[in-house]
Amino acid sequence: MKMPKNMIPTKQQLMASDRQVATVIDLNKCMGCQACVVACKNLWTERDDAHHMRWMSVATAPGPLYPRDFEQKGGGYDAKGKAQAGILPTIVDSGDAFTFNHQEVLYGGNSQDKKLEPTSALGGAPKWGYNWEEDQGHGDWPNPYYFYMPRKCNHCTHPACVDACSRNAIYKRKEDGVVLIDQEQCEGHRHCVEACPYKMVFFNPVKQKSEKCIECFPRLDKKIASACNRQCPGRTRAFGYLDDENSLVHKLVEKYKVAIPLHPEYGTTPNVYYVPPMSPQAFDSANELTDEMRIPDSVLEGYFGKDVHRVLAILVAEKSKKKNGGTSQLMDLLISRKWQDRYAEFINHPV
Amino acid sequence: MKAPYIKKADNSFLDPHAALWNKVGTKRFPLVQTPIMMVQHLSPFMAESTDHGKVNEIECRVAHNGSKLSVYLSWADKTQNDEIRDLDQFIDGVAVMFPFTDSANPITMGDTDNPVNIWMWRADQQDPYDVLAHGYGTSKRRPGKEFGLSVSSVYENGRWYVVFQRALRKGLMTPEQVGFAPNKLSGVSFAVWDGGNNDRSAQKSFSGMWEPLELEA
Repeated sequence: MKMPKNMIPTKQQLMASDRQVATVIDLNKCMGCQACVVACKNLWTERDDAHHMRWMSVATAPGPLYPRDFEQKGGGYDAKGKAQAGILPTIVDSGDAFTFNHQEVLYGGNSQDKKLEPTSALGGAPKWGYNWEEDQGHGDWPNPYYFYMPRKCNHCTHPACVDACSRNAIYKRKEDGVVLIDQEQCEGHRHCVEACPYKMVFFNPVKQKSEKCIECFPRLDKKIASACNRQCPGRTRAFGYLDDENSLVHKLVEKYKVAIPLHPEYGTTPNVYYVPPMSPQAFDSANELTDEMRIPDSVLEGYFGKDVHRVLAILVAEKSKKKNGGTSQLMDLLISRKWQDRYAEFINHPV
Repeated sequence: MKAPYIKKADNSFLDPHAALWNKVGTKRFPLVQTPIMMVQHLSPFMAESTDHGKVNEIECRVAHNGSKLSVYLSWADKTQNDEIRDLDQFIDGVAVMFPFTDSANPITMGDTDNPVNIWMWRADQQDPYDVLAHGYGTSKRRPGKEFGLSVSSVYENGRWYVVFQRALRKGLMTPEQVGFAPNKLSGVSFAVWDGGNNDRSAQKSFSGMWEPLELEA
């Protein structure tokens, strides 16, 4: 009954992958339509034990985002690479899973008196929910501002969840670096949820196992782009291998270097990259347009780090070239007229 | 610790309230917080825990009737955590561990060559787990029912009372279970999880070294 020594993998083995897929999201074009969220939910979490999970989410920034206040829930690493303790989101933090009195309103025979009302998964009136602060944003008139923050698992190059799992149930796929939780091996201890600084691992209280975005790997295996990426009507998304020089992700991340990760300081090297938002021009006190951007530098720096200033300078310069009748290869890439250009080799249709 | 032979220690002994349990001597074992830094290689995040393992004592009684071994456990726990209603909640539990070999280290839950067998109860489940482990992070939970392991539990006045029961001889279907026999010396060790204290996995209280266990003839 001796156990072969090689049956206990090292964290290094679990984190190793030959290649890495990545997603780029252009925040200048995301309109918060939630099509990516619905695409994901319909495919993976439209289950009684998973209604509270949004593997893909879009929330208004600045704001508590999703899961609520995840930026205050710890996890990840400090500058020296030391693991940081984290706390678990509740079901309400996770957006709750409302039920509605449809039966009563639609078939109860008292439609004039009864209003449609949500009930929290914990019972009673909801205290918070997904998109609770929709479009609230920050800033005072005449310069209010907000932008949308679409988020999913970052399939990090150094995933804290893999590091945290005492069961070694989490690993990166060899062929594309997609991070997966082995559902047989998982015992629902939730060390991964605490460790993920992005709080993109979700606990299933019925199965008592943790779940997360699987980057639609069964689709990837058939060269079909992941559903959130493919479904985006705003042309905000690019998907492909980071090392594929012909892919849009490679061009935006490695060549033009205009797509950068959210909270790089968390130390996990995430693989969802964002083209940061150029905000509208601000008005001055006389209500005249200025050259100032409406979203304060400090706000964007808070999300994307100091590198965001370099990227915004490039974007503004390239945009102005185009605006003045010139040409800009980068702007043409970001406009992305053909959907096939966005997903590299992952352009098969789902069947 | 000696397990007396009691002819009537049969299925009725599964009930922690069974009157005959009062005739079996009680042994109290101190429990301590697991030295979580020892599993830093398995989870540097788990190793950050400082508050786990606050249950500091467990009471144990053991008896057998020649065919079945019964293990009675009781410990103080102010909160009864037997249901997960929210995503940040954890479950009370207890485990008894037995070595397969004389060299198995209870602190590491055995190793590659020296496995251990664990009976595990969770307050939210009817059936216990029969667990096989070859060291930290290798535990394999098997449904207790399929391995001839039974359990019952009662929560009363701020205490859990749990009784495990299994045939002395290991199940016929697998060699992956410890066997017991009268006059054969074995070892036993304990662990308690307090769900109200977010205890789970290695974040628990445990008794540390093996306590000698002898079934009287």
